[in-house]
Amino acid sequence: MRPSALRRGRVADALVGYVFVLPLCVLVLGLVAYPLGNAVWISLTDKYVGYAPRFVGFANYTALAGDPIFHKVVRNSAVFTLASVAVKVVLGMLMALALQRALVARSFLRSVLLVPWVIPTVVTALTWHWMFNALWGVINVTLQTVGLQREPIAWLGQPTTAMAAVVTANIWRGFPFFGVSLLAGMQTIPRDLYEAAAVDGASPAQRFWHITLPGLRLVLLVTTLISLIFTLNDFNIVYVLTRGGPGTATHVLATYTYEIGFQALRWGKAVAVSMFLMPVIAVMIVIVTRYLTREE
Amino acid sequence: MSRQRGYESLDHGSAVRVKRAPGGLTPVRAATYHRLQSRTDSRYAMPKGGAAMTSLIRGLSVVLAALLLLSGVTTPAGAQKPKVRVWLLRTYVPDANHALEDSIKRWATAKGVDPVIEYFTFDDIETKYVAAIETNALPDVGQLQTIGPARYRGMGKLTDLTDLANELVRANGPMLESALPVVRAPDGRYHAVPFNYITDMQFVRTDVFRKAGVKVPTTWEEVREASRVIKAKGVMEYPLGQSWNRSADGYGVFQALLYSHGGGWADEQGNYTSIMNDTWRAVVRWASEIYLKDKTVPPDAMSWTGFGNNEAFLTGKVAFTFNGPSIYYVLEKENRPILKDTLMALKPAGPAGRNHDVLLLSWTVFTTSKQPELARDLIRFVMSSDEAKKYMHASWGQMVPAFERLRADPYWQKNESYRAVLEAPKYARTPGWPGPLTAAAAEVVATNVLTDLCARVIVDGWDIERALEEADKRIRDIYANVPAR
Amino acid sequence: MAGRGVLAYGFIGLLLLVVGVPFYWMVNTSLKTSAQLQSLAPYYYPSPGTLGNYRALLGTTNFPTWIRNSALVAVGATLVTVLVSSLAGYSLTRIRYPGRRLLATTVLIVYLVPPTLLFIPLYTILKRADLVNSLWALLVAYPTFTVPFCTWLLMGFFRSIPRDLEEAAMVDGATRLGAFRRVILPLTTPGILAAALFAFTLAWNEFLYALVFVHDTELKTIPVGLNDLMFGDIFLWGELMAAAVLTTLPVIVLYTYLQRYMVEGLTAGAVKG
Repeated sequence: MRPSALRRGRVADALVGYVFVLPLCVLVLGLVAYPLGNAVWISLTDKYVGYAPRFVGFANYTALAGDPIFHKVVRNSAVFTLASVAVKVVLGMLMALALQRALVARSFLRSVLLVPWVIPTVVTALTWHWMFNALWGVINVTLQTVGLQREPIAWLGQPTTAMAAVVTANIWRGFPFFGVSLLAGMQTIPRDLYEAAAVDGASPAQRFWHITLPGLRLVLLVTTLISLIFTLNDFNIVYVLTRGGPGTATHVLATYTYEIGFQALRWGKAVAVSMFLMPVIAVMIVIVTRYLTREE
Repeated sequence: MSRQRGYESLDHGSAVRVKRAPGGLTPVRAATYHRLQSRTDSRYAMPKGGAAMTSLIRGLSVVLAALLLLSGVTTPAGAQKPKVRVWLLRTYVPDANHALEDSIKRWATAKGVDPVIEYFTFDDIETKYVAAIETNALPDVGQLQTIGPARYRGMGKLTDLTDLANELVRANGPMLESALPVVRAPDGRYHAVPFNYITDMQFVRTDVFRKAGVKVPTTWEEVREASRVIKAKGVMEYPLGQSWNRSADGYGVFQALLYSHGGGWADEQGNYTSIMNDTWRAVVRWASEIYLKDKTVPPDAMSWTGFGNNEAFLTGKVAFTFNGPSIYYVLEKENRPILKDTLMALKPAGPAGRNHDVLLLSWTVFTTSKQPELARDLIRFVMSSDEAKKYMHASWGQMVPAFERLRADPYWQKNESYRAVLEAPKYARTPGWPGPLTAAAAEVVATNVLTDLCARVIVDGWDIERALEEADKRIRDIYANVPAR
Repeated sequence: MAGRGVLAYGFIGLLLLVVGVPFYWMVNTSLKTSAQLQSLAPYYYPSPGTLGNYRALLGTTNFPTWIRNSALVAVGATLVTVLVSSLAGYSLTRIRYPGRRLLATTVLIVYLVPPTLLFIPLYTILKRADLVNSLWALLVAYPTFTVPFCTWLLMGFFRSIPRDLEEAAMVDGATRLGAFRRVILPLTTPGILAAALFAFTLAWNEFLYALVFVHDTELKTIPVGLNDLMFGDIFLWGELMAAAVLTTLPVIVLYTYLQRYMVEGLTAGAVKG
């Protein structure tokens, strides 16, 4: 093609690009920019529900920085999020690999394994609450019936096991997300690459390492980032299972924000809690975006 | 078709050069890749996928349109009659809920008004009210929980209902003393009128007690002793179902314990006073030693949520617990076998008297209402003697009236448990005792300072002094920072 | 080959167990009365089982209405989401223009603040547009959190397709839209289906906006309706679990059907050597 035609083509192409992305812009800028800006503003005030806000600068943030309960909350959130996502990635990958290989009833199996994702979260959390109960929960009752354990284990009553419990419930609910996404990602990898590799004499492990994983790289990155963000903001599972207890052992950002906003009615401080982690998440997002949109 | 031609052009390798095979696959030779790619295999020629997608989207749109047409998604054009929006608590007694609805509908028909009844539950009351306050979407009439009037009147959201309160007193007799701090501000004005109490009681399994040879406790020390004996005699492993959790079962019972020992975090004027004293130490000791020393409490009780102790009692795993009358409701309604062995008794007393934590539901008219007179009239009607009695008779003994003449109704003399429920609110001391119920006191309760205090000792292993210091600081901060009204 | 197949099915069996045990517990509970539940015996199975909870759910509560509303909102939100996010995702990863990197980053920024704090200003906007207390409020609000998520997910998928394929199609005269529809979409069908599924389930399970933006009893969605089965310390366990079972099964069945319908071509290609 002649250069000028190419340039004209490129501009026209860019315009098409803008048009495609227009609905998204309308949605994000129109409906989210204002609430987001409002949230940033509120975090700089002493807003109390029902009263007008007064500007206080960074007072909320400094108060949080010195608050030992907030420190605990951040630590809990980090543990909760990282542990859950790490296991979900592995479990999801294994699920996708297994389903990839399974040719009989694949659609059915794939749907059935989606059940944890589809059940209303509140019911999932309630069920796990029942299962973990020390006196009448299925886990302890079974352990006692088969004679493995005499004393009831207080799963939700001790800090470490309580955290393990909420992480377990979160993993149970969330791994199908990874499984389905990664499987979809695997299905986008051309089969011929595997055939070619087989022709070249690659072992299954090599095929996984050199074909599957690189092919999944972007999908894996995106799903992990999304899961990190969602898990960090997860409210229902912790709230229903333990309310953040025992004590503050499983108090995470979402439950802390809820308590400050809806129970203490201190809206300014509540928003500041969520804003506190914004730099961290923003950095993560920027890094992944760079990777995702770079020129090939 | 262009698509087919597109793939064929790949074969001729015209304008396309594969710089790197997708996914960064270096071991595979580019030539092999090219050769395989040029085959028109069904992997890349997927008429089914693309066409399936389009037809799927078309199909879903049709379904969506049909559903939308069938359901009339937007709210219909307004009716002619004026609307009155009422927010009610959906209690666990469906009969009572229906009775109240019927009452409101009777009023509405008589007045030629359209009642719009919306419900909230114990769990989402906060969320709904906060949302409504901030988005200016409050109803005309609403029910509030105990700390509601204290918190919302400072915001200027509640109308002055002093006249209405006096009218109701004339109609139904004087209110119980314990209702006054809830509905009446320190300056003497009423911003709400009492609806009903849901009282916290002491639930006892009389058969277990008989078996262990202990009597129903009347003081907190007797509670501890009875639990120890029941456990020691091997009758029940964890007899006492008391959790210091983030619900009314936790902070409510803690206040019962605290106030009956004479402790408090505010003085009689409602100002903050330090909690670093021996009364508080004794109280926290009681609260923690049942877990740490006596071990008479189920090991995971600290993570119970609101229904945990209910389930513990109903499954027969504990011999006593403190709870609202809801446990009795389930037993009575479903005629459970342990009904005959269950007693609702008054709460134990301490050195400074007996205290029952209560949930007092009240009625209010919001200042944003466009028809305050109608709103008041609704409350007047629903709280009139006849209507209130109809409600009472449908309540299975769960909602206790606050007005004297209603309380004198023979309905409450049914049995010992009912009589106890009736008497209990007399001993109620409200949050912030011995001072008035202020927004600051409400916040101390709502932010779980009291139960976190216990949790620090029981779960985190802190010593009592250190835990008290943290709680003291938190309370001080709250009092210093609440919008003071 | 056979060995690996056994391993795969073995692991799937394990996953089925992991998924199945809590789900069995829900079904078990849904078939018991509360008296049976609290008597703790028999424990592992209902005996006698009862359909009373299901009957109560369908008869006394507004359950069918909740399902209808949730279905409406979820399907609508999914359609909007898939359309917007596939176009946007495609544009952000495969067309070059200034500002796309910034845009891609901004898209996810919205998740930094949880809905618990965003809903108040969002409500103000919806009120100004007079959409409050109708399902349109949810149809407009849900894409705010499903679109960024699906856009990013699809960006991951779109990125994995070699550029030459559309270039070849465009060299042959197809427009961007044509290349998108005829080349990219078919190849990323599994990704789009996954995105649609997630958008659907996110909308299906959303609670806060549905609680606050819509007051009418006739417009309640499932999560808000479930709330009505919990009264502080009395929970209607049987009905709650019955509701869970009844809301999960249709989605599973639908998804199975959709998969078979849409992805058949792919698996056929894979089998062919």
